[in-house]
Amino acid sequence: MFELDQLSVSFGTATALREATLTIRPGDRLGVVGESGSGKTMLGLSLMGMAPDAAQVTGRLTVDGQEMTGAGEADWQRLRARKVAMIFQEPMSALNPLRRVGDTVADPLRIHMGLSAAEADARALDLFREVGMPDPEARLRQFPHEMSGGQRQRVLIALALACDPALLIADEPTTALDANIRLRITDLLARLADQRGMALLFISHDLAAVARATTEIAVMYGGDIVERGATPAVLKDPAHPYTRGLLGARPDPAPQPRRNGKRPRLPTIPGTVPALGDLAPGCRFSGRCPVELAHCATVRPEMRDLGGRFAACHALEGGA
Amino acid sequence: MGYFLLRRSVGFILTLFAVSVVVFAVMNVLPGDPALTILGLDATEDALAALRDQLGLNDPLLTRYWSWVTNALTGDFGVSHSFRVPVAGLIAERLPMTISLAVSGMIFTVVLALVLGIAAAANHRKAGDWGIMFVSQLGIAVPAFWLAMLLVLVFAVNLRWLPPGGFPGWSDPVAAMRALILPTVALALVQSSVLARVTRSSALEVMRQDYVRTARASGFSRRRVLWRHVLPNALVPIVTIVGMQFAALVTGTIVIENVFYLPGLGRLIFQSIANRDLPTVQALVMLFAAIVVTANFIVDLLYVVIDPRLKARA
Ligand SMILES: Nc1ncnc2c1ncn2[C@@H]1O[C@H](COP(=O)(O)OP(=O)(O)O)[C@@H](O)[C@H]1O
Ligand code: SF4
Ligand SMILES: [Mg+2]
Repeated sequence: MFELDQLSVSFGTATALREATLTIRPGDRLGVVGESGSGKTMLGLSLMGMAPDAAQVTGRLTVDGQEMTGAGEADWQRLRARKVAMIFQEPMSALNPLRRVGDTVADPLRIHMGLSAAEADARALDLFREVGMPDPEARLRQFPHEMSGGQRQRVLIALALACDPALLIADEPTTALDANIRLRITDLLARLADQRGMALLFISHDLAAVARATTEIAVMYGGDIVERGATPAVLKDPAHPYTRGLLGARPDPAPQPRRNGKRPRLPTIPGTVPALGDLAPGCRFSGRCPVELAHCATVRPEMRDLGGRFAACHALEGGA
Repeated sequence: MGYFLLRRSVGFILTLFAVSVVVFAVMNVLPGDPALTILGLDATEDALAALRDQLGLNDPLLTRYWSWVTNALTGDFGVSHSFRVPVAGLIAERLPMTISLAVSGMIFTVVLALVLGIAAAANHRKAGDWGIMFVSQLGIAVPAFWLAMLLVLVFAVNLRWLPPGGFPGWSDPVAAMRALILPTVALALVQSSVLARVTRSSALEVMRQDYVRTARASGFSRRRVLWRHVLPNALVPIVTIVGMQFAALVTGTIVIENVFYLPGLGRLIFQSIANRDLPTVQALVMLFAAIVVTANFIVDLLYVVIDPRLKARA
């Protein structure tokens, strides 16, 4: 179980993650959506103890009751791969080009699980089968440059699963892939989480993918988690103005264009995401928000319970 | 891959051939009469003419080149004018000394540079990094000759820890290694400082790569990430520089052997030039050039061993 209590990550005065409070229980499948720069990756990296060296991390983070706030690199090394694993957006560059992919997957098994080289190789083959790698025996001996993006992402998923983590963080796992295999990777992740009873933090731009893969959703903007709830409920009936903007569910809904077979990405919200340091101290969305109130820019809205759903917005206060 | 090997080998042989032509041409247009050098100023014109004939100096240039190359290929480099013994024997006696010095210089260069370069990269923008960068800057600035004298003064003359020069031979390995320490440091400190900086910047470049983040995310220790993932990927520029440095180390032995009175090829080439000993100088220059060309050939092959992506393209 991963518990974040008011966890913040900042770079000087710029706050990339502001007081995130979140609990991830075994088997949870949580989607994280939001525009670029909203702090999704920073949230994932914080759970790996891998926030950049330059960042100041405050607040609390516990993993299975173990206090990880201010924990050293050595403590995090014990959790990585075995407790929490992460796959990153860019599979083309995420694999060591000099190592055979089978060795890359077998390494943590030998080093963390004490398997012999032969046992680790056998286990790597099992993992390749589990992630649906075509022709798995031959693939083990290949180098990353000999594989397609989808195959590399399967290698990275196999690597992340190797030490049987309790939580898998997938940071935009399909964004860099061809449209025709995005769906397969998304379904694979959801199925693996389900079969293994593994929690999944699915970070994505792709709302359709989040809808398929997750049961819960957290919407982020400017380093804040602005809305949380069951995935179908939030997608069907978003409460927060930002979520509504994301879904294109505002009063003048433009039909979602289906561009050459690609499923629609996040629709664009008018205006651009300001630089971190320029965000208002109150609601981060003020300045772009269509229903902004006078005190939004200065007073930070509290996360409010809307009956099993949560959103932080002044416009929802005093009866939603 | 086979085609790559063939192409590189042909290139290697052609380069050696070109080098042999240049070496021969330069040596044989230099002013000076070897016969006069050998017999001395009071030799008679008849004796000089007879000797020139005997040395083949009257043959056409092409004939002389051809017999030099074909004899050299069988290990016959002619007879030294000053020592009056076969050049091959002179070289064979002194080769182990020079190889010992060059190899120990290479080991010193690479080991020190990798340790310091990786340590500096691992402590990027911290005290350790600055310290290593400062020391390596000093190491680059200090001339080898001056450093050699300083080392002798401090460690041989004042502290008396190490011998000031000479080489006892490998029959006593401890004494041999002690005798090599100061010459090795004097020879290789500059190269090591250069290579440490190359290693650092190459490692810093690699540390930004996504696959290093993947290795960290796999729960590996910093040390494993640095030595098993960063260093191998940082090797291509390092190997390039090492190949060039090997040439610099081999030629650097000429100065160092003379400063430390080491009986190697460097001293021999020095003496032979002073004596206008044409066959010996010619053989030594060719040998040094061949070593440099061979080092570059090996580096070309190493690239392919290091990086499987190049193997696919090769
Ligand atoms: N090393 C860093 N120094 C300063 N700001 C950073 C650094 N790394 C990330 N950020 C900032 O943190 C914010 C959150 O980034 P990120 O978590 O990557 O967003 P997302 O994944 O949602 O696109 C961004 O505004 C980014 O510019
Ligand atoms: S708090 Fe104000 S600015 Fe922020 S989303 Fe709600 S209405 Fe808009
Ligand atoms: Mg991101």
